[in-house]
Amino acid sequence: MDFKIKLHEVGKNYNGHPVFHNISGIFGPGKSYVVAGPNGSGKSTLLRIICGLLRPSAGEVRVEVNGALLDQTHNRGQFMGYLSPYINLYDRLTAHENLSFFAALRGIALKEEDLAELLDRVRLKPFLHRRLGAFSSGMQQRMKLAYALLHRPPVLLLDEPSTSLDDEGKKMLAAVIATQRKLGTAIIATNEGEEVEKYGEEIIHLDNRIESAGVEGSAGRV
Amino acid sequence: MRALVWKDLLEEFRARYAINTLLMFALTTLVMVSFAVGIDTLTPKLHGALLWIIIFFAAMSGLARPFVKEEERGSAHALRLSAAPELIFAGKFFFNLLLAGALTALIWPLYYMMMAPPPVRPGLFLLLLLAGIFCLAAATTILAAIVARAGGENTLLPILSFPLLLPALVMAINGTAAVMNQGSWDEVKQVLLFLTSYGAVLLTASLLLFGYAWND
Amino acid sequence: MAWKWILGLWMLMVIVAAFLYVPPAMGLGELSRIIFFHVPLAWVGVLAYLAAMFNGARYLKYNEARYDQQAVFNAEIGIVFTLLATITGAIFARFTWGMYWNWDPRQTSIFILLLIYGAYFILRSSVEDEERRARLASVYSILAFISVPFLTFIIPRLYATLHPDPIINVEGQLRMDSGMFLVFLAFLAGFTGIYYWIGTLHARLVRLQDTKKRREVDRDHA
Repeated sequence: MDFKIKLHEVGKNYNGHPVFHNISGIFGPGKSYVVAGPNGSGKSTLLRIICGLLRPSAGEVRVEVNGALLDQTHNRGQFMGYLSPYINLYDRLTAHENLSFFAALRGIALKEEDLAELLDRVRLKPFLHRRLGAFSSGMQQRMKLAYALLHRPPVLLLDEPSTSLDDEGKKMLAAVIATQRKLGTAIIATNEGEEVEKYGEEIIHLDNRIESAGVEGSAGRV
Repeated sequence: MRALVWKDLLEEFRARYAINTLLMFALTTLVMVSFAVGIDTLTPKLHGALLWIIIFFAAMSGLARPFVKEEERGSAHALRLSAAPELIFAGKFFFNLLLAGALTALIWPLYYMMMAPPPVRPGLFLLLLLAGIFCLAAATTILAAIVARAGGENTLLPILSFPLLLPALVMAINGTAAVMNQGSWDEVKQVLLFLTSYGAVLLTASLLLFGYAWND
Repeated sequence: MAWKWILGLWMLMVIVAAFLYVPPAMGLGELSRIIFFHVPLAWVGVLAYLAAMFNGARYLKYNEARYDQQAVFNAEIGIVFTLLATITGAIFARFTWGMYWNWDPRQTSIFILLLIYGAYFILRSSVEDEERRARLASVYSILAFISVPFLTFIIPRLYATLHPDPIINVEGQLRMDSGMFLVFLAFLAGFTGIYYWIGTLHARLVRLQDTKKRREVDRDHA
């Protein structure tokens, strides 16, 4: 699959207060990218703008897949998987119910084996029929990752993915990101130096620094 | 869409976000009205007015909950990325229809026992109730989404709904009075036609506008 | 600027005409004069609402803040005119039918318009984010107006009304004598002119506020 995500002079204000401005760059397949910057620099905001949950105040985001432009949120949602602290699943439903619900909503025919395999990937297989309300925060985080991977998206957006994960969980995450690089692209928003080094083939700094070719960021006062 | 209705039902069954509020509110107002009226005999018009006021306010107390819960919990974004807005709207509309139906199915027998309204032709009356509920669900679905996106304040839904639902309420009250007066089929038919076409207009407009209210 | 003087003179003339030139009519005695004020007030109330709704639709289409600003100020003008129309209507009702309020369908529809305006502003005040506020308010302004034609045209046809027929009634007959009708039209034009004048004042105010904000931002940067 050939795709490009182009950011053209993207900026965002909240009620007139600038978060960042003038972010440009191109994301393509076969790489992992890191969005880095201090708290409040707009990492989450940028990911939300990329997947279409938020409109940019200036500039534009073009998501082109095989030459077609995806401009609606749900169209981008078919093409991207998004893990974020702002997204939660249903506490009253079990892992199985949550995933089969989202699969049905997306119109994916999900076999039991697929579901088991997916939960195995995030190491939650033994908890298939437990309600999310009884999950620890680390397990919740793995569950959100499973939600993001459910439809095998070419682009994976991960906002602070290692939050609440233990060492084993971080290994699992590294494996998921490595696979994703082969399938398409992973864009990771993080603050941790270790992760920036590990995954940042290209890095967007949201604090006035530009590093590496291809993606340029310049930016904003906070 | 079926998945969405099923998910909402399952969640509602386990957590009872909406139905408890709806029922308690309905019961409280009903008892209050019954207590105030005592054993006086009311005119059909008054019966119609009381019945629909109870249904309206009980519905207002709970129908925004499903949407507000999605926004508060943060699952709304997950829905947004998973399906087209029209699909989400359709699912929530049917769920609201079910909630409002369950509510009315509970209110009417209680009302009948406590207030002793004049006898009605059951088939005709059922049609009238259904048409009224249809309008109620059609109007409140998109408004509930607006309320949820506006911060989820409880008082907002009745304020936003009332101007939109007034024509439906006026007609439903008149229709109920007509049925209780043993009115002619033509008289009731007019009301039914009005309610269904008004509901259809609301539904169409909601479908066209929902995407704007649902997405940022 | 000359048109403002003409408008002022115009309003002066029509007000004098309303009290001195036009004979009492329609079997309503001196009271009939109130319709010269009542109907144009209601007319501007509806006109301003339509303008607010139209600008709301434009906002949804183009996503530009100025359309939302226009929608708001139209609603602000509209709510004042509608309130005055409701009050003059109630006075008229008191002296013709004996009660300030009797839920005549036409009274109901102007009252509903007032409620819609109220709900519109309450909705606006409860949304934090400016862009979201504009979107939700625009959607609501379009949605809420659906009930007005049903209340104004359909329900009154099904049930009796006390209200005098609209000035030009269904058969296209005029119920006023020609002099009275002329003054009435002059009032309609005059009030529409006042509405337009307030509109230009508001546009000027918005421009000045924008300039002020821009200067402040420039100063912050300097």
